[in-house]
Amino acid sequence: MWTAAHMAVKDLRLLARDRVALFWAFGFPVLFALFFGAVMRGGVDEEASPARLMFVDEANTPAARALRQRLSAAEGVSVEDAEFEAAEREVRRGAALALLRVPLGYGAGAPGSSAQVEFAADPSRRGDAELVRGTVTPLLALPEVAAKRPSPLVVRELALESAAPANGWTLVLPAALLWGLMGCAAAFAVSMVAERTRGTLVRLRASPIRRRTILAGKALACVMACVADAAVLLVLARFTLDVSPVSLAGLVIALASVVCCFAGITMALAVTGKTEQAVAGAGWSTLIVMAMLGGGMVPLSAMPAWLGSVSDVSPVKWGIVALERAIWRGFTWTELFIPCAVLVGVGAVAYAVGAILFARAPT
Amino acid sequence: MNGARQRIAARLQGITKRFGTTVAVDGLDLEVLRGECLGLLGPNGAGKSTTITMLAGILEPDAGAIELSGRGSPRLRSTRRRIGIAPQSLALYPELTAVENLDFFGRVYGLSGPRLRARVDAGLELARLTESRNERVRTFSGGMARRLNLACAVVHEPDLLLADEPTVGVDPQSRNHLFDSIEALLASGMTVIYSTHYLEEVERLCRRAAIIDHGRILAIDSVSRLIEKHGGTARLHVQFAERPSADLDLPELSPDLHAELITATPLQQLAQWSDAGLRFRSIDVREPNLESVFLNLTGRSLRD
Repeated sequence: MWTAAHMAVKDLRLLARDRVALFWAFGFPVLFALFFGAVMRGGVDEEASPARLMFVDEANTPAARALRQRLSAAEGVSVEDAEFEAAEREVRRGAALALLRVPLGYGAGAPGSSAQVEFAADPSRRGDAELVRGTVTPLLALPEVAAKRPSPLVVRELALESAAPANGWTLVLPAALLWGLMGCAAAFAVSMVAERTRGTLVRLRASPIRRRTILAGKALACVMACVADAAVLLVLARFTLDVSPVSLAGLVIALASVVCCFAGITMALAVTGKTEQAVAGAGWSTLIVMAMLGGGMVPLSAMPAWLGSVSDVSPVKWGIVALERAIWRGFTWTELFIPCAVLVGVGAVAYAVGAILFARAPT
Repeated sequence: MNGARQRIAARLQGITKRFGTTVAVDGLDLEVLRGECLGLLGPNGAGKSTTITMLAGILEPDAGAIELSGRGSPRLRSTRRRIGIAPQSLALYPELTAVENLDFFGRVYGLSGPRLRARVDAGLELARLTESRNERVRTFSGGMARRLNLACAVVHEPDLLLADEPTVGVDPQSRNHLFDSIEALLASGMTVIYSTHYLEEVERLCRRAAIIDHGRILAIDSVSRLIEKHGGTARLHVQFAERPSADLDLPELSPDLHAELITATPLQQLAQWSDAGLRFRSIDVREPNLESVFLNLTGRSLRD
């Protein structure tokens, strides 16, 4: 354990001495994060695939069923039935754009006496929500009533349990953090092959320390650098961009999970190549593909439906989900546990693969 | 028998190592005695580095066994703790200082506290880098880095030092410093296996030498006995100052009056010619050395 810590300290010291490497590990990820944060900030409201609308039919009347049919026929909306709690959870998690609650009495009484339909949307996608609301509102009017006079039905906002994001930076901070951590992790991917090219791996391999300790030292250095990277970004976000997480404990857990995941992936990548160029190329390519699939570049909501489901394989998606919940969406511990467990699991599997490959690697 | 075992620092029996279809080491047998400096002398590609790498426990032989100091295989961590290696290519962190490199490698071998500090200081002294202790290695000359490379190999006071061509690319002064360092280590009782293709290094440092080529040991003995057994006869090159008379028994002369004679007694021959009134423009006596040993054993030069 102490040997791994010594190795990690040595790697961090090497990083600190190399200004170029330091920039790529810290400066560049922060700039990268801010750049993509700014880009994403303007892009989160874009919508390409049909918006997922949760339909909560509490009325169970012919009018409500007719409304369901009209909504299903509408363009740009994908309607799914759900109980209210489930629908609210989906919207709050960001998995659905909005919910439409059709209360008891809808279409059952005299015109004008019907209960109000409730509409609630994901606060991070207000632009999309307005478009859907514009699509939905004309369909709410009961046909027999609409023929005689304007619809008496009113769509009202439903206050979700979670706090809405304070500003745009809050929305983009999860993706920004992800980019920062990916950049930092990628900088460490070459550290193992650098040991090989500078000859020190021979000395380490001839020493009594185990190969897994060597790898653990590298992973620990990567984790420590990533934590420092995240701390820089969070301090920046807190004091210059006015971003405060809804749960500090949740954020720590989410960040720890993300860091574990990318440190593990980095270690797997670190042992696959024989040259620094090969590992650096493989590292960035892998991370960028993960980011593309996982919503780190293009919002998941803007992806075609099939690609959206493919995104489940990307740790970036789970990272964004976990961080969003911790930063502004709010969460139950179960809701936070699932993405964090996925992230830690992916990191552990990747690290194990790296350890096996390193154990089998020739000198 | 038990005494003989205790005198052996390393024993290699039938070691074979292949890389694909290439046989790097081919059934190599070797015994290294405690406290000696054994030279592994051979050209590039002879199998020296592969042997060193297996002795260090980094590579596992495909066949055969290695036992070090009665501690067992070098693949065991407890055995590796007693081995130091100075690899052929520098194995240092250029962005760390001399002290930081020694400190790190000392910690890797489990040193800490006052003992670590003492060993770091000893390493700096051995490498003659005390004044440059806080300078980064990337600012060092090739010779300074080579000396530090050796010091890092012995920072944990191993019983056995594996020095794989430790003087590659250094100036004569630094080479002498390295020789002095290795002699100091030998004086302290350390066993050294010294791989090189420079015969003068073996002649200076090693009591015994193993001539290795194509992964096999062709001969192993003390340097003097190797020369005696395999070095052949001395070669006498002379250039006469004037054409000798035809009735003298001389080897064939070149037009510029050069002659070469292979003889076990070159000085006696010179004395005879001098007594016969011959005068010389130049005299060159080439005694057999390890180069001629290698040439006689393999039919090619060490630098081929």
